[in-house]
Amino acid sequence: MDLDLVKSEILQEVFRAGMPAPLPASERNLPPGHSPTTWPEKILAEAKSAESATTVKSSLPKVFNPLLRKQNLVNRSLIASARAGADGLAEALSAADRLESGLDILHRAASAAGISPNLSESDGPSLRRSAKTSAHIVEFPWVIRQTTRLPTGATVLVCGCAGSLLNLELASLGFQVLGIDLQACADAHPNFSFLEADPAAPPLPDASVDAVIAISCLGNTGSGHLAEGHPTTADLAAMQHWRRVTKPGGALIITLPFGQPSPMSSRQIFNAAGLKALFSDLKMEIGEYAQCSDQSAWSCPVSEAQASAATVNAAGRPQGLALIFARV
Amino acid sequence: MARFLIVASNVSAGDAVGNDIRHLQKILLEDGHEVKLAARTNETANAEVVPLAECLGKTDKDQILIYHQSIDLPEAVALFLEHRGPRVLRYHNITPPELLRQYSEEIARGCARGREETLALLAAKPEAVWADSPYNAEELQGSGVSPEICHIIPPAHVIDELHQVAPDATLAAKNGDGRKNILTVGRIVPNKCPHRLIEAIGVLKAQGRIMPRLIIVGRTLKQFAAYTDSLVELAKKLQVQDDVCFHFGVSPGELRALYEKSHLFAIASDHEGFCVPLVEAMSFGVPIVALAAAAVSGTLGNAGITWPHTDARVWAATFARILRDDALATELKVRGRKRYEENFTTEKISAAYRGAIKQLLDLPSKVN
Repeated sequence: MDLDLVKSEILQEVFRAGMPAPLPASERNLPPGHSPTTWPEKILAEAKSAESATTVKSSLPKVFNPLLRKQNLVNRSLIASARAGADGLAEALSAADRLESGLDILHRAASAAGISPNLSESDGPSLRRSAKTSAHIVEFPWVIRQTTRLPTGATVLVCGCAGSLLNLELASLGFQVLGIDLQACADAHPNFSFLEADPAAPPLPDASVDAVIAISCLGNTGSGHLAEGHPTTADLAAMQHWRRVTKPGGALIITLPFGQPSPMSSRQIFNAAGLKALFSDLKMEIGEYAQCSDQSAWSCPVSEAQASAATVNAAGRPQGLALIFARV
Repeated sequence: MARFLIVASNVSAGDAVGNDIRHLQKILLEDGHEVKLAARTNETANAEVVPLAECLGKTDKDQILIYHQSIDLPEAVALFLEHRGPRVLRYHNITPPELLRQYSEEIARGCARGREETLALLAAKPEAVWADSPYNAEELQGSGVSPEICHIIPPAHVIDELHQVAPDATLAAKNGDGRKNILTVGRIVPNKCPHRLIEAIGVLKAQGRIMPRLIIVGRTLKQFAAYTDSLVELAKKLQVQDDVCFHFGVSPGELRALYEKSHLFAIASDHEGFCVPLVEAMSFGVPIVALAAAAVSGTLGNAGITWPHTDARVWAATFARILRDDALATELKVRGRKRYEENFTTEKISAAYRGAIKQLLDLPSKVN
């Protein structure tokens, strides 16, 4: 008996039946009797106990990694706070901006950690504006435009869905949306189901969805910035998983950083050869590029040559994008 | 004949480390060696267990010191470092403190110290390191232990005795009432996460298609009383308080009755160094569902269904599938028995111990 097949059948049963979770997402998998709102306080206490910013930076992974491994215990605001110490406040704001309390939590964490003594309330709006003109300003509308190429009511897997408006947008447009993330996702819609699991290795049956959407999911694993424009093993493995779960003729809709690899970026930035390696056994129907100017203005489409020259901004964020629609 | 000093925090009956120590002592004695036990506390009737503090400064280099590490124990570290003879670290793993801190800062600190002590013990370059599981071995090798001195020896258990003791008639009758039973066994502590199983039972209740009984067996610790209380509260919150049975301490006869009357064994623990209850379930032919975390996958192999995540809906659906699908349940039962026979019988574990001891005694320096 093939136990993997049995597991696939079990997953199909769960997600086709739209089985309800026993508790609200915010409470699920927390040790019972314990409010999730106390977790930020625990994190802040850990941060305050560190002696200096340097110590905090080195201790943050120790404090957060175990929690990140238990992602379902940590809400997005905590992760944003964690990144404040490691990857820069602007990046954290990008995530925290989606939360009402995100900025406040971020400020408190950063202040406790002594990482950004100059950050004040007055910095918030400008940083938030910067976050709003991140690559997402191109990626989300581009992806929604591509979904018009999918059949009505198609089953769409949204990788890294937590905190994304795309879940409800696509669900509202009639797609059967299955979101997958290691972080809890509280979105609710009759057409939306959520699976708490690794988006890079969805535990789904073969050929079970019509499309996979992965917005800026690639390039986040391992020491991507050392890969010099080429995909890492983790990126290739993720692509293999996404191909596997997509029905023949189905689509992969993927956006990823593109341009000049930079040691300033904690993310992998792909080049043309890297893209070729990622999509070599797929039928690429649309490949477009976007680029951000010095004035934080994004443009799409631009030529491959223009996007190839894109570098990173002062915060180390990639200023070029590749946007791909490929068929399995 | 060699002389061994076995050191541990506590020698007790009924826990994995205690059972492992007593079995090691038994086979060393059977092979004609001299064995002395030293521990901080002794919960057995064995009056020959020496207080650990009394050993400090009194070992001689002809003794082989075997330290069973499972928690912080500074006097054992001191003994290990001062001992001039051969030293073996028997590593049972230590719970990552962050999994416990929410409920007991005291125990979390102890675990953190224990993990620091592991590094100190390894830095002393012991002649051998014996790991319970591939997971433990990987952790040790990640700390710089050479694979040549690192042996994997599953912890000894008392499953043979469990199969020989008479099953408790009362529990057998109570749980043999025709209802399906899901069993979980292990100390009731936050890192073992039995609350996830209660959540899954909650999903089944909401669906109303099949309603098994969840039997939670394990000792409690006063430091985690709040967690234990919250399990009861969760069951009430999900309206499954009548479907979840707690046994905070069972006799061998009661445990046998529960294994024999169970249709499924489940464990959703975040951290296990080996997980002896999995082996017990395999030996009784109980189908297993487990969270693929820490050492669990290595112990279970392909003898059960594992999930990498804790989605209560998926676990509930898995329970329902196994409880309804006789062919699947039989397949898992056969796989479990086979894995037990091939890897974890007392004979297999004794042989692994004897192989490691022989290699230790064959070492040219220090030992002879």
